[in-house]
Amino acid sequence: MAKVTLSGVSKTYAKNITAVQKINAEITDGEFVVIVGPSGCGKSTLLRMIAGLESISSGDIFIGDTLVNELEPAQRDVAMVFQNYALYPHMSVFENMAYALKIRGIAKNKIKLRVAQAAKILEIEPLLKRKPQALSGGQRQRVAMGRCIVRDPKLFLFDEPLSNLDAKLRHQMRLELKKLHHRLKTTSLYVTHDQVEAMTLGDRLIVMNQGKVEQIGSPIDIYQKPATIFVASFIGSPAMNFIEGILKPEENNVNCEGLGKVSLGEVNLHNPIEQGVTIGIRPEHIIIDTPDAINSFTLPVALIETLGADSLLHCGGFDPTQPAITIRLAGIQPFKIGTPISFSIPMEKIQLFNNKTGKNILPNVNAM
Amino acid sequence: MVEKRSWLDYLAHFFLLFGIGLMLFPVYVAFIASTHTMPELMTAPMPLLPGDKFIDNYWQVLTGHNLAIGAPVWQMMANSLVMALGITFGKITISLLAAFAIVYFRFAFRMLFFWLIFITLMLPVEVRILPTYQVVASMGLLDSHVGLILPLIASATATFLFRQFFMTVPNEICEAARMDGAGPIRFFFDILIPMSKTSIAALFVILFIYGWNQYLWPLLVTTQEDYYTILIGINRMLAVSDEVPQWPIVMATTLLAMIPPVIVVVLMQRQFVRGLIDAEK
Repeated sequence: MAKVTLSGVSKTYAKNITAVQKINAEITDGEFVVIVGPSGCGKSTLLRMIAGLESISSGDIFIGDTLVNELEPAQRDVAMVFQNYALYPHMSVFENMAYALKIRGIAKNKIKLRVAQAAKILEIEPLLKRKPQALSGGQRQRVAMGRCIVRDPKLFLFDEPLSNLDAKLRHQMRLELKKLHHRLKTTSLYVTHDQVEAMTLGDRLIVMNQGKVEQIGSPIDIYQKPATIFVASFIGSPAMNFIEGILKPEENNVNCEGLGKVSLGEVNLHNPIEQGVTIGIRPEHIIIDTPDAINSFTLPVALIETLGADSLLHCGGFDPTQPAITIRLAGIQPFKIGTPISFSIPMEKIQLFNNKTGKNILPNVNAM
Repeated sequence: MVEKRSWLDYLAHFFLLFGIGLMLFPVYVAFIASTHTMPELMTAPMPLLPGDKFIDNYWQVLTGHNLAIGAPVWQMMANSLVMALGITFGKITISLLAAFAIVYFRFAFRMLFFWLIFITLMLPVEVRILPTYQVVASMGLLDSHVGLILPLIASATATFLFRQFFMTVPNEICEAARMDGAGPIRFFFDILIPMSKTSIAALFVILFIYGWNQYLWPLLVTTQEDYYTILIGINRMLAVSDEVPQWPIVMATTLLAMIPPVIVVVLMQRQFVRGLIDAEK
């Protein structure tokens, strides 16, 4: 187990394509950190640089106190679970798990013991003699994890390990991963594009976009106080509502086209000048049937998605000037398409982003 | 078939049986001929039932008494076997290594070397046979097993085949092996070769038959009877001057020459087919 320090890590390919740009981050001992971002944001490249499968263009990576920039993957004492598991097809499950230990010249009876222990943790003891071909997706996933566990490495790396599983199994493996980390407490770095995985698994998240870090923080922090409009739109499902408008600092409100004035209450904004801003409000924070409240507006219902436990009301958006708002309500709702619905936006839940920089201009936001 | 039409079935079976007969009849005649004495064979309606000289003829062939050439057939078969296996194993070894280098290592002029190998696909042995003979002769390798095997050992076809197979191996397997601490040599022996098992088996069958059936090259480099391969032996038995070839002996030799390729094909049939159809992934 060890901490991991990234300082100014960059990756530039030939023809000046920058995949990863000056990443600074510190992962403490025993922490489970999820790197999340859309595909092509450089998250996998970053992980592979830490693993040693990809060279580092500039910057330093430390695992523990060792600078690992020039070390071979095997010397870094890290283990990795690949997206397609990368099990050796001709070896049995036992041999797959034992291979790394065999290369290190560990005694046979010790190997047996360690594989047996790992198999017990992962409940794959009955499968040890099988070949990967004879395993289901979930079982292969477990074997791939077993291959990492037996090595007892300083660091686990996961490269979208659940993306090849079906939804139900993914959910189950997610829980097991979390339990496993609770038990082993090995420092882990986990790459995913799935924000649900990121929110549920990570002690902390690193949100990346276009090779840069957008925000680092706990899932709750990132959910409640997104540092940029990108983070706000990427994390959370259904996505946050965005309404563009002009900030009027002297009136403490935002004038939104097609909706009206949205009051912000008493807030100390960074740089409180009249400027183009975007209001962000999560669908579950909007309250309905409150015609007398502050920030109360009316929009017609455009579509209702009934999910069972809750319903998503899509309102407005009938013409380009009218904002489209999604409201999340508990249970099954009786509204009809086309009927106007009144709702209010609670001031304390509003996020405010500068249109030019995309940054959150509210105070107390942990920006990068 | 969508509906059952029995006359079509009969027709199909008729053609199949006809084809089988066409293939097998010459072999049958060869077998019959190898069980008769020479005078019996020369009588006007050629006998179509086995004679009583089966044991005598084959005994004579195998031990080499009273043959037109000095070497017994078992020795010629041993020579053929050494040559066929030498070519097979040599080709597979060299092709595996060459393909490994081309697919997994980044070195200068990699693609140039690949294309050089690829271009030699177009040059059969016969094209380069004179210079090759000159080289082998000056190395003093005429009339030796090494001389028989060495010039035929490089194979562009096999290299190309293994290259194609290696490129289908997911990159993650290689990366996983690197994470596990396997160097290139370990990766090659522990992972790549076991994964190529079926391709190797398929190539083994093809190359063994290729090696066994080599004719022109052994004809050039062997002058001593000790190094004759079975095909050369048969040729020498036919090329007797001023007399009729000993047909029962020749036919017995021919049938014996068929046995090793048949054994290889029968034993490795399953792997052969699997290797040609899919690469076990």
